This record gives sequence, structure tokens and C-alpha cells, in this order.
Amino acid sequence: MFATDTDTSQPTAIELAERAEYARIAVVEKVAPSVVCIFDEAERGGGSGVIISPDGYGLTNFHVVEAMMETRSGFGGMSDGQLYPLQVLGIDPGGDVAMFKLSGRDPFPFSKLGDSDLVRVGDTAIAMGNPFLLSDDYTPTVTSGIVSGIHRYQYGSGDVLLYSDCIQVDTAINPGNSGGPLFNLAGEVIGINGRISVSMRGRVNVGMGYAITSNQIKPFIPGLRAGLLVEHGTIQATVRDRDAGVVFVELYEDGPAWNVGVRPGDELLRFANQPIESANHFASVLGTLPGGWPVTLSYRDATGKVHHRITRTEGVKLKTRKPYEPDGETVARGIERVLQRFRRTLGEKADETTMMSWRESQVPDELDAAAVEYDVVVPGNGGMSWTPTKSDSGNIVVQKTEGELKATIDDAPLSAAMDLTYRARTFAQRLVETDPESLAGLFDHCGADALLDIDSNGISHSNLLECITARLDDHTTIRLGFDSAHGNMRRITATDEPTRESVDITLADATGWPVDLVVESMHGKTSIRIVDGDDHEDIANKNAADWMTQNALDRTKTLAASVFDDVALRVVKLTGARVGQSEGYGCGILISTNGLALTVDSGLLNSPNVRAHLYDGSPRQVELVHADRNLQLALIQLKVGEFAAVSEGKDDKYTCFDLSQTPDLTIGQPVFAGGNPFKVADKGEHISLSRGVYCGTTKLDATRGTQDFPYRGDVLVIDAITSAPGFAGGALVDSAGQLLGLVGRGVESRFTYTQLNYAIPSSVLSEFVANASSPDSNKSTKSATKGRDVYHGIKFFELGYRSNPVYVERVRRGSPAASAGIRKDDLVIGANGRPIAKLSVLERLIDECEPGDVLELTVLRGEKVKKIRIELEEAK
Amino acid sequence: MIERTLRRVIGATCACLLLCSFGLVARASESNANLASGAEAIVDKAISKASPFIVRIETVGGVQPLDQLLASDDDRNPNQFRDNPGSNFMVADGPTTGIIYSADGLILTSSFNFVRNPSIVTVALADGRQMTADIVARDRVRKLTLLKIDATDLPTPEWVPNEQIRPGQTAIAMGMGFGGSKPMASVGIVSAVNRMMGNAIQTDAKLSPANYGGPLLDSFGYVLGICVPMAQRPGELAGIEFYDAGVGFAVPGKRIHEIVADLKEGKSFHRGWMGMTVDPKVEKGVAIKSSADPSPIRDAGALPGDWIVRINDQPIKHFGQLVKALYMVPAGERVNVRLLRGAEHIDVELTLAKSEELGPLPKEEEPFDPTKPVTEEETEEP
Repeated sequence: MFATDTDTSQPTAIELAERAEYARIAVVEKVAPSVVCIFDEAERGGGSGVIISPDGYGLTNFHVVEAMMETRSGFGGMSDGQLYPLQVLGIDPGGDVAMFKLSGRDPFPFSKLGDSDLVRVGDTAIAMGNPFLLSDDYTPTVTSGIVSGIHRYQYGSGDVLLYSDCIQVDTAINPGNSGGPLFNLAGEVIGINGRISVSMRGRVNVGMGYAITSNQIKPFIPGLRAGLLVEHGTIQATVRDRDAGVVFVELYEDGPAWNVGVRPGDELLRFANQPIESANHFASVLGTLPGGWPVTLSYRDATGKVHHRITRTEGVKLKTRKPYEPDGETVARGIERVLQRFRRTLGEKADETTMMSWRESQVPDELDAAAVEYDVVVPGNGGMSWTPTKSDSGNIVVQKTEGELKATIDDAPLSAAMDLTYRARTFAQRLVETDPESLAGLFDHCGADALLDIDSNGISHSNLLECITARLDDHTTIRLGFDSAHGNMRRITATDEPTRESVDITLADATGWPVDLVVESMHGKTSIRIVDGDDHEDIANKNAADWMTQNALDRTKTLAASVFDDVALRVVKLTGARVGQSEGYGCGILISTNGLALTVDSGLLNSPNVRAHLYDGSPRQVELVHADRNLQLALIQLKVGEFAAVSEGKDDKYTCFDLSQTPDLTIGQPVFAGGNPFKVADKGEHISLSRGVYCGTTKLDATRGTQDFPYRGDVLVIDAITSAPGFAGGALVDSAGQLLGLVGRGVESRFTYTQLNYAIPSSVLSEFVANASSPDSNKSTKSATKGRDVYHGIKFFELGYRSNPVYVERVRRGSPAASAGIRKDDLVIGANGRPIAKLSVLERLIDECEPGDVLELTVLRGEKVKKIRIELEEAK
Repeated sequence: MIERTLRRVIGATCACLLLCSFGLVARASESNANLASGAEAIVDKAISKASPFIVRIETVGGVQPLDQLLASDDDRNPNQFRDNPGSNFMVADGPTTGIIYSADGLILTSSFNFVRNPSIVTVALADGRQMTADIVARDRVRKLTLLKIDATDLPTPEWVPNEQIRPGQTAIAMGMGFGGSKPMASVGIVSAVNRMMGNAIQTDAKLSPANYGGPLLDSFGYVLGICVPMAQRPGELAGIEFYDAGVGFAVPGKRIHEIVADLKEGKSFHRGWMGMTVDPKVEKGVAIKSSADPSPIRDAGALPGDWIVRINDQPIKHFGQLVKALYMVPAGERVNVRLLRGAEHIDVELTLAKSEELGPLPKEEEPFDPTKPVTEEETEEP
């Protein structure tokens, strides 16, 4: 098949783009079968979901299944055209997640959960689901866009439906998409779409969708699978942004934070292995953690001393409408599933090998109080109290010693494995508690064996807190590393004793995802590969396909990411006065390194206290330099002194847009818009980025509210949605990051009566700036003085106030119109290339003309269309 | 078409070749701008290919469809089955878009562009000529309209065969609606290939009155379909609420050709009615409350109190499903209806009627299922 094609030259740009399209189609085809259209039993309402394992387990939003909680059943339609019975399993009302199980097919097509920590602004994000329940044949709707923001925080109602640390996308997400997957270009689920921002238009997409990250769902999966009401964690403390930093305000005595010594007024530095930048950020991180989860906490006390502590979150008890009663059968099944997995993995090996060996014998017998509150232990979700004893066969038999046991586990090898998980965790935790700053100690205990990354992307040693050692046989020892933040299996260590050719064992990572682990020892080298479960065949092909997809599309990714880097630094977030309908927030673009910025002329600026927040969150007082009502533009000055001070020592991070460049534009070329719609970004949080294309240029003819919009010059029309409140004043750039224009205020086009997405071109901006800095310009120019009136000599037919077709009623003899050839009863249907359907439009157009201008009228005379040029004279 | 297939094969070969030659492409770690310029070039080529057959349509006269509804009241039709526009959206009179369908002057566009019932329609071609056009026929269900201009030897588009359309592929919507003499483009992907009972493909390209009636192109400039507003309910404006929301529809080539074959003969399509009212208080199932006389449902022998349990093999569990089963079936087309009377299933076939063809509803209440209380509210059947 390839023999004839020997062209080895580099692909052209067009070929690259074509490959990107093919790769996208391939990814869509690969993952679309795993998407579920969810319906309630009556088939009235519903949403979307995604299957994440071949036995039919799937994820959706809690709010999608909330109406089904009575019977816990519904239907799931898949792209094979079939409706399958759906059972609701565990729920997470706090995080708006729920798990369901479909039955009736084996295996179900499924998609893999990706690592959402790797998601960056600008990455392509593909959403699938059933918006407006449009699908008759249960094939999903596929929409594509980019990641507009990460680490977004969206308030819930009370304790429920809170979106912490979510991904914001400009991918079209509409009602009905709820619960559906957000995919990256590798076809991995990076989030569950659950929310959108909506404007006055109503409940439709305006380019602002939010997805719950896959990584924050992972720790809850075992509990959800077991049919439980899972709880989010709290440390029983509130924090607030202060100038000094993030400060504790209120703490409950005996809460997790209090118990490790935190007191009101102390400054929060790090939490769950991350430096905390704002109160919102803390809420985001905390919102992703389950109850009973071990977390690191660093704070500075009143004396200035820094403490590093480990504590464990408490579960937030939700006030549900009805007490939630887990379905006993489901719970039992959930546990059985976990059992099976471990039987399949370590359990079976236990008969033929000495199962485990411990280097550290000091495993604590006592357990902390938080741990025993767990009803059901599932690996990867906290600890439990077990006392191990050795059985005759040499296996470890465990019995629960504290609390009430809800499930009896009599499978010795399995219990041993579960016990091992817990003990390893406790052990690692002890280790870290002893010496939080030095994690090297952990690795000392693990030995100096070869360390192989399963997933080397973004995983650092600091994430790795917990280890399990397993001896597979006399010659091979394997060690598993878990990251304590999410409980994901991150690393495998293997000794290098090459007496066996290969050992295959199946493991499950903490997400419950079955993976096949292939350990191969050859010629003294040990290699370990992780592959998808049940998919040994064509691994090479699959990898190749993935590689192709990744490679072709990684280019787009880095492209948008680099654009974002530029735009994010050069767009400032403005807050100011709220006047009537207009927003109290917006954007501006930096056009000089000494703090000059451009924005739209809006009511926002009518306040003595207008503030700009730079990319790093530092606030600047804003002064209006010059505003032009006709252009709807304003030049503002960010206080110079402070601005310059900040820019020092930041490696020239304060760059600005270059107004002197006017890049060429081609219809259909990719463009990016950066702004702060819906004020989704606060202070130091990054702005939103949207992707679209340049649709074309037109003269603006629009209304804002009930008023004519004064600007009537050229605008760049784009198909990224920028009409959302707060986007105005943002930047429109090309794919090289060059400024193309300033996002204009929300208007309705007179041509379509729809909201227009547009930008004022950079040529108009530079002219405005030049005029603004000329000496005779004052603070604010009012409407430019109207020139002399023009005379054409036509009397048009008028009848009352109704908008009439523009018929010529009379032409004055000797007038410009008469000499040009206009006749009585001609119907004017166009003027200067613009269609004219009513007189008011034509009159407005003529009003803008000066004597000497040519007015080209398109008229209908009988069946013929004629174009007639009239040279306008000065009115007497 | 041959050229297109070739391109496809070459494209596929490129993709396969890539699989076998990692090193080559890995080495080609050239600037990202390359891909962007490639995407730009592809769209540019597609637009150049399509521009000659895209036309600008201008209309003069006409009124808001909302006005029509308010003004006409009951004197137009003695029954209460009225064609509701499906939205309160104010329709502008700006320019709209169409494509040349045949070299001898047939122009295809969306019926959305004529909901104001304009008195004059003109068509401006890409070569600058502008002429008056006649409306040949309208399909108010699939939202298409066929125009005729007096011209010959016009450039015509090439259509993508339905079976080649794949979700995820690039989709470019072209329109004249924001003004200017050149068509504007917005770019998205194909979201789904079988929507609206097989009458539409779906795209996330931003569709609005700016490009309704215009073509949806693939990345080679071939036509995937004609952009129209649509939603799963009747009404000529239904679907306008989705404008620019990433939920857009286009009638694909295969359907277009079938429909145009009828439109060409002057046959217009209207909303189809069964001519009955149902009790909205009945949540489980759809029970006939009364029917117009004459009406297709009455003529088929259905009685008040009968339950409608199936339409064209679609189970009907509630009123919403009844609407979904019929909104895409124009008057004159046959539907199979399964009625449940007592414990008996009765299968009937009926032909949907135009609203004007329906008689009035009976003045007096007819016998109804005595086990159900009769309620005051009534819901119109679609």
C-alpha cells in the first residue's frame, strides 16, 4: 500500500493541517462509541455520560441523575442505536458527579480517564454529549474548541454542585451536554462537562463551558463505584485574601487545621503539595479532596515561624433532601468488584510466591481517628483498621478490629493486599511526618533500584509519598508508588534480576482503571510497560496511531499555548462603575510598557475608582486619558510609578501590543481572543482565551440596547463568541500573537438582529492613539461636528411611521439625481453596496455623506436591476 | 467527484505513511506557525472554490412573522390549528445567502430568508450581476426555498456524498448576512451526521441569519449541506434560538436533491397536521381529546379517548415524543399510527393535512374516557 509512495520530503503546511483533520476524525471515531445519552425512565429529560470501563461503569453529573434518585434507574443510549438499562450507583452531590452502570452489552466501548493536571490553556478540547436531546439515534454531538482557562472556581449552591478547579472551555456546551465527557486530542477524558455561563439570550452556549477535572473525580471513583454517597473534605477553617497573603480567619477547635497548630491570623503557604495563591485557589484545591484524605499543610504563625504539617481532611456531611441510603446490593457488588481485581492481581500470585516482604517492620498498630470513620475501605481511598496474622498457608489473614464492619471479607490474599495498601500508606505517611522536607528518605527506604516512570509527565518526586513493595518471585521485586494527592499509582520500581524472560501481572491503578503491566527482563535490562487492559493486540499500531494524533495535534496545542502566553501578559482586567446595564468589569490591552492601555469607552470608566489588575494580580489605579464616543474607544493610563516598579526584575514580562503592525488578514484564518467574560478571572487569575476564525470585514451598523451604536466604521467579524459581558476591551490576535484588534462592546447587528462578535481593527486603534496624544485633544471628544448637508433631489415615498420600501416619488428637475437618471417609481434596493430595505437606513447613510461624494444607488425598474451613480451637491 | 476521491486517497496515504515514518516527521519539528498557515490555506482554498456559486439575496417589503400571527387571528382558519412561527425572534431585512443549484438559474436558499413574505427578491451573483428572482417553491418543514433567476451557464457546486460525511471533519459555513460583497466564513466541525429524522447534519460552526441559506463546506470546498435553522419542533423560526451557539444544522446533499426534485415542480411543503387536541394533564401517554372535522385522525377512524402508542414504529410515551415523531413530516406524507382503544391495538395509516384543510373542532364535548376527568386546558397537537 505504501510502496509506491516514496516521497520522504517534509510535509507542507497544508498536509500538516490535513493530517490534523484526519487525526481529529480518527479520535472522534475512536471515542464517540463510549458516550452515553442519558434519559430518565419516562424519557422526558436527560443528559449525557461516558463509559469508563468495559463492564459498563460510567460517569455523569449528579444533577443529571438527581431526578432519577427515586428509582435509581433510567436509560443510556449509545451510538450503536441501542437503549440500555441504566442504574445509578454512587453520587457526589458536592462535586456534581455521579456514577452509573449500564447493562446489556459485553464489553461496552469505553474511554480512558486522562491526567487533567497536564491540561493547559489553548489545548484543544472536544466535548461530546446530547445537547438539547437532539440525538434520535443516540450518536453524540461532537463539538470542538480550546481550553480557555484552568483552575477556575464556580460557586455552588451551599455545599452542593460546587465546581472547584474546573476546566473552562470555549467548546460549545449546551443544556443536555451535562455529564458528558470532555476529551483531549488523545481521546482521553479530561473532564465531565457540567456547567455553562449564560447571558441575556437564555440557556445557550456563549463560549463559556466548565468541566469537572478527571483528576478530582479519580479519588472518589472507588466510593462511587460502590454506590456510596461520597463526601468532600474540609479542614474546618476559612481563609481570606489579605495584602500579606492568604490568611486563616476562622477555625473550628478540634478541626484538622486546628489540631496541627493553626490559629486565626496564621498565613497559609502550601496546601496539598501546592503553593496557595489566593483564597479562591485554596477553595479550588480543597474542593477536589475527599473526606479523610491525607494532606500536607504549611503555614506561617504569628512569630513568623513556618510549620509543615500533615493532617487529614474531615468529610463534609451534606444535607440531602432525603437521607441517602446506599443500595446494599450495589455496595456488595462494588466491594466484590474490588475483591476480584485484587484476586486477579496480587492474590493469585500469592500462592506461588512469597507475596510480600517488608523492609520496614515498624508498622503502627494504632490508627488515627479519622481513618476508622470509613464504612467501606476501597484501595486508593484512605485507610482502615486491620490486624494482620499469618495463616497456615503463609498468607496474611486480616480481621477488622475497630468500628462496625459493613462487609465481610474472607478472602485471605485479597485482605492481605488491602492491608498492605493501608500499611504502606501509613508507613509512608509516618515517614513524611518525621521529615516533611526531605522526601529523599523515602527513596532510601525503597532502595536504590532502577526507577521507571509509568507516567513521566509532570510527576515529580514530591508527589510520591507512599509505596508498596511486592516480591513476585525469588528474583523479581516490584515496588509501587502512589501519589498521595490523588492516590494514583505513579511509579514502579523493579529490581534487575534477569532470570525470567517476562512477567505479566495486571494491576489496577487507584482510579479503578484496569491496566496490564508487562514486565520484561532481557539481557540484564528490565523494562516495564503499561498498556490498556484487554488490548494486547496491535499495541504497536495503536501507539503509532496515538503518536500520529499527538504529534500532528501537539503543534496546535503549543501554538495556542504560546499565543496565550503573550496575550495573558498584555490584557488587563478592569473593574469600575456599574452604570445601568453595562458591566462593572471589562478588559484593556497594554500598548506601552509605561502603562498606557486601550479599552472601550464604557460606563465602567465613569468612576473615580477604576482599577486594573495585571496578569500577576497586582492592582493599578486607572486614569482616563482620552475617550472618543464615536469610536467607542478610550485610552487609559495605569499609574506609571507603580507600574514601572512592578515591571522591574520580572525579566521584561511587561510586554505590550505593537500598534504599528497591521498584519494581513485572510478570511478563515485562525484568530484568538483574550478577555475576561463573566469576570471569571479575579485578580491574579488568568484571563480567558477563545479560538475562532476571522470571518471577514464589514462596516458596523448596529444597535446597543435601544440606541444606535455610534461607531460605524470597519470591524473585524470573528466566530469566537466575544459578545459575552466583560469581553469588551480584550485583545484579538492572530496565531503569531500579533494584535489584530480590540474586542468591541456588545451590539446587535442591524443586518441580522443577532449579537455580533467583532473587534475594532488595529489601524483604527493606532489612529485613535495618535489623535489622543496630539496636543489639541482634550479629555473627551464629543461627536465629530457634522459637515455640510448634501442635496440629491429625490423625494421618497413616505407613509406614516411604518418602514416602507424606498420608492422614488419625485425627482426634482435638474437635480443631481435627475441628471444621473433616477426616475419616478424606481425602487431603491441598495446604496453604496449595502442593501436598503427601508427609508431610515438610506437616510442615515446619506446623512454621513459630504458634498462631492458619490452615492451609488441600486434600483429596481420593472424587472431590471440598475446601478446609478449620483454626485451629491451641497444643500442650499 | 473523481478529484475529490483522489484527494481523499492521497490524504489517507499521507496519514498511513506517517505511521511508518516517525523519524521523518519527528525531525520536521518546524514552527507551529506552519500548521496555522496550513489551516488558513485550506480554508482559503475552500472559500475560493465555493465563492463563485454563493449568491447574495436581498428582499424588499414584508413584515415580521410575529405580526402575521397577531393580525390574522381566527378569520384565516376556522380551526385553532395555526402555523406558529415557533419563536418571537425579530427577523431582520438584511442581505441573506443562497447558492446556485443549477447552471440554468435555480438558486437554493433557506426559507428562513423569506419568513417576512417580501414582495421583491433580488439575487446578486459573485460576478457582480444583480437580478430579480422568482420564488419557485418553499419547503417550510426542511426550511428550504428554491428561487429562479434568468441566467444561464452559471457555476455550480459539487456535493459531498452523504456516506462520506464524518463527525469531526472540518465544516466551513459561508454567508453574506453581515453585509459586504464577499461572503464571510466561520469554521467548525461536523458534530453529527444524522439529525432531525435524517434531514440534517449538525455542526458547531457558528450558524445564524448571517449564513442561513448558505453552504456548509468541507475543507476542499465541496458542499456538505445548506445551513438552516432547525429544532425538534415545528415552526419556520424554530431553531433560531440556537444561533451562534455551536448547535447548527445543514440539510445534506442527498436530502436536498430529493426535496429540490419536488420544489422544481412547484410543489411547496407545509407543516403536517393530524388535527387533534390532547389532554395535557395526562402525563403517561397521549390520549386524543377531540379532533377537527374533517381531519386526518378523525377520517382514519380514531375516537376521542383513544391512546396513541406508536407513530411510524416510534413508541409514543408522552406528548413530547409525539411532537418529535411528526415535526419533520410535511403535509401530504403518510404516517402509520397505532391506537390503543380499551385493550385493543388498532393500526391506521393517515396522510397529514395542511392547517387550511382541517375543519373546526366540534363545539360540544364529545364522549371522552370516563375514567379521566376532563380538564379545561388543551394542548395543540403538532
